[in-house]
Amino acid sequence: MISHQRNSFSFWPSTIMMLVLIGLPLVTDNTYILRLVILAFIWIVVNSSWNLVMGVSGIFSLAQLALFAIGGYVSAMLALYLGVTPWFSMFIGALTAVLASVVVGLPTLRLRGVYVVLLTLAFHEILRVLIATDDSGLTGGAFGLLNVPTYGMESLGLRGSMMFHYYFSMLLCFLILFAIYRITYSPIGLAFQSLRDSERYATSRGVSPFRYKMLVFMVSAFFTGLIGAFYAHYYKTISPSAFSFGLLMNLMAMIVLGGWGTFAGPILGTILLLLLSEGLHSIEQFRLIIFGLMMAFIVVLLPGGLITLVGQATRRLNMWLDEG
Amino acid sequence: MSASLVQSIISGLLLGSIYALMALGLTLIYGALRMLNLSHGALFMFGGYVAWMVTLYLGLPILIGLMVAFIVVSVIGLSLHPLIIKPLLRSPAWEMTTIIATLGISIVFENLALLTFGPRRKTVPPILSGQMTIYGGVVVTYHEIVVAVVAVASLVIMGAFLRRSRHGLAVLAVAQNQDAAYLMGVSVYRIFALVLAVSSGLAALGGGLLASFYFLSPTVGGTPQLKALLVTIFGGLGSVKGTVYAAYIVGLMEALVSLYVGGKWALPFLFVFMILVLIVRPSGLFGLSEEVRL
Amino acid sequence: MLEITHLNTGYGDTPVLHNLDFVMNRGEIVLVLGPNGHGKTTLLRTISGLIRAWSGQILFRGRNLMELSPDQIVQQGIAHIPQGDLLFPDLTVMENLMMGAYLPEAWQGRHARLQEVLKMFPLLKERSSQMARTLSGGERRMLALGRGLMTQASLYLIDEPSLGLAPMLVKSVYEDIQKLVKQGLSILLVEENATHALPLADRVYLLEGGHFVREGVPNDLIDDEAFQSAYLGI
Repeated sequence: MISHQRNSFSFWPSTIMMLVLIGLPLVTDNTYILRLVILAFIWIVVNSSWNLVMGVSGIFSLAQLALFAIGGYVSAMLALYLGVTPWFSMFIGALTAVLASVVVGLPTLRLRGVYVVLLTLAFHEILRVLIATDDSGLTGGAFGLLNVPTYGMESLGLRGSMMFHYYFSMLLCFLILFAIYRITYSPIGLAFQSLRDSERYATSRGVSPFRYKMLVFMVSAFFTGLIGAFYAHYYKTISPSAFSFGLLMNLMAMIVLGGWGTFAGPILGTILLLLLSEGLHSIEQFRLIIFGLMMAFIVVLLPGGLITLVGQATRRLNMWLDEG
Repeated sequence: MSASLVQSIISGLLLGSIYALMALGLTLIYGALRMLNLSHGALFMFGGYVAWMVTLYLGLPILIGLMVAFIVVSVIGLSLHPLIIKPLLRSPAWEMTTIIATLGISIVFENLALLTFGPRRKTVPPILSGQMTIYGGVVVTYHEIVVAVVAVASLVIMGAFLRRSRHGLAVLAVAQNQDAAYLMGVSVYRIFALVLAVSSGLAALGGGLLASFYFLSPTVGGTPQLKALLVTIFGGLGSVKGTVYAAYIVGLMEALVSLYVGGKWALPFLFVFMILVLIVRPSGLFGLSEEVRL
Repeated sequence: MLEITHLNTGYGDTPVLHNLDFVMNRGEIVLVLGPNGHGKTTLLRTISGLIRAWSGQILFRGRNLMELSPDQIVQQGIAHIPQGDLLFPDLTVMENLMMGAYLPEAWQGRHARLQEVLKMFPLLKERSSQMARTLSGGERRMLALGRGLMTQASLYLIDEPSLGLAPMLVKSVYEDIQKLVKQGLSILLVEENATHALPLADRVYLLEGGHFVREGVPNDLIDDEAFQSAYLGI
């Protein structure tokens, strides 16, 4: 499922969307919407980074959220205990996530897909349990860290602070997406995709699977850790619930639904499922069942995800426009 | 040898038997279908609930509950065959897509259980109450003995089925060489269904037995599933013999680590141990001769 | 007994067999010779169903095999003793043999059949509780033959029994195959080198480039010089 079609992410719709997003806080006061969009930015970064590893490069890692948490916790703890400013500590958090990815990746990435799943799953689970049962007070245990320092924008007032966080996360999101886009469609990215589709073929052509996988893993960890740090400083708290298995599955559903292996897929999936979450909020328990069913059935019926439908629709639209 | 050490070893062996039940199903599915069934934990959990319901609402002894659980969950597992397996069989990314599909199914199962039974933990009464003391302060409950007997008996029966019966042998054959199995007239398609049913039943047994030790909740299957997966890797994905050995080793390790270091370090310890094993012997203790490395 | 008409098949987009026609009667020993890579194994795998044919017809005792799955084809009474043996490595010799008798009718008569096979191949009896993967090349070949016999099939497809074996072993494998011949079984044998196989055959086909280029009886072919150099190494 190499997405050579860059058409599904064509110029006009995305530019319009970008303009809308930029203008949004200026035209509306509705904090509910703004907060939702910020959450979307965060998860889009996580999902797109995860997709880079899983969908584009074929590394079935379940460690993504653990790396997110590492970025968040490290940054939060540095700021909280050592008074480091979040502007700086977030990068330390990101780098720590990269370090963690190296530690996990070194033994794991040499092995076949199935083993990667299990070992990254174990990593996630162990980290979560260790933090949740931590009584030392260092990580805040099951309740998490509270009063995490912010970026210091309180002086702008409530609305100003909200706008700051909105634009900051938007900036991070756009920059990271841009980087991911470039990687996905660069020679390296195409090499990744050939890896995913046939490891043996790639090896026979002299593409060293392990080094590329490690690189992708590290890059993805950096982005995820970075946004994890933002998460911590924005919500002023971070706890084990930020990386529960349920949330991990939620995110996976977003990627699968949208279309994994493509660039725009995870973005689409994240937006759709977030909206669906909000809409189905009243029937909370059914929501998860629906997500699970969607995940299972999409992978069976429409493996390319919904983005393939969008792609088809765009093509038809283009054809129709050409004819007219 | 101190009493607590002996106690620990006994728990370890007990745990090992239950892990063996859990892991056996997983390894059979992987061997025959090359599929990692991540809904296994949910099936485990259902087994616990069914056994609990039988004892609570029908007032029947737990052994009957276990048998009913085996059958009911086998059927549930079997239903995955037409729904998930069959459509995905032709897919080139079989391993990946089945992982996602079974993950999705596990979410559905867990939340169905949540809806039906509520999030509160349930306790399952022990099979027999009372305990006995053997040599110098080591206490063994009758319940533990019964569980151990049931677990080991199930393993033995499974082993006999696999190696001595016609269909059991066919299951092993399909796992070892699918083409050759076809050439013996084996309907591989039907064997897949058999494997799904049997492994789900085994998970249910494990769940029922474990539930009587700890508690029952919709998410109770997660950690045991993870441990069972690690056991199968350690023993060699697809190898029945390896899985059983590995299960006992893991059970003992967990008990000893809990005794000397603390319960919550058991999983990290296991994880590190696993990585070391994989570095030295990538295909596990008795792994099937297959490419594991890239 | 076996009638193939206009058979076409291949792998992926690559055609391997082109419009083959073939006939074989009960009790015959038919030899298909050909260089490596020219379709011999493909032919057998298509008959036994491991490969789907693209077009044409394969009739076995009047029944069209084209829509059947491999296990169903075996049920019709065809045993394929494949190239590379395809044994079950982690099952014992005895268990491998038992798997041969998997199908219901064969299963019922398995004990009697087992005695016959062990009499034919005493070495298997010695090794009966050893794991198949510990066997040597010649022993594996023997086990593959024995396992095939356990199916009590009507037609035996034997794929390059001499492959990968030292000359001494080849001789002994063919002595074993001769035992099968003596039992009056119908055998479709495929080989690259005809030296040992030719004396056993009733008829010979030459498969080159996915086509049958020649068909005849061994005596006709033996005197042909081109044949001699290509297939007898003379």
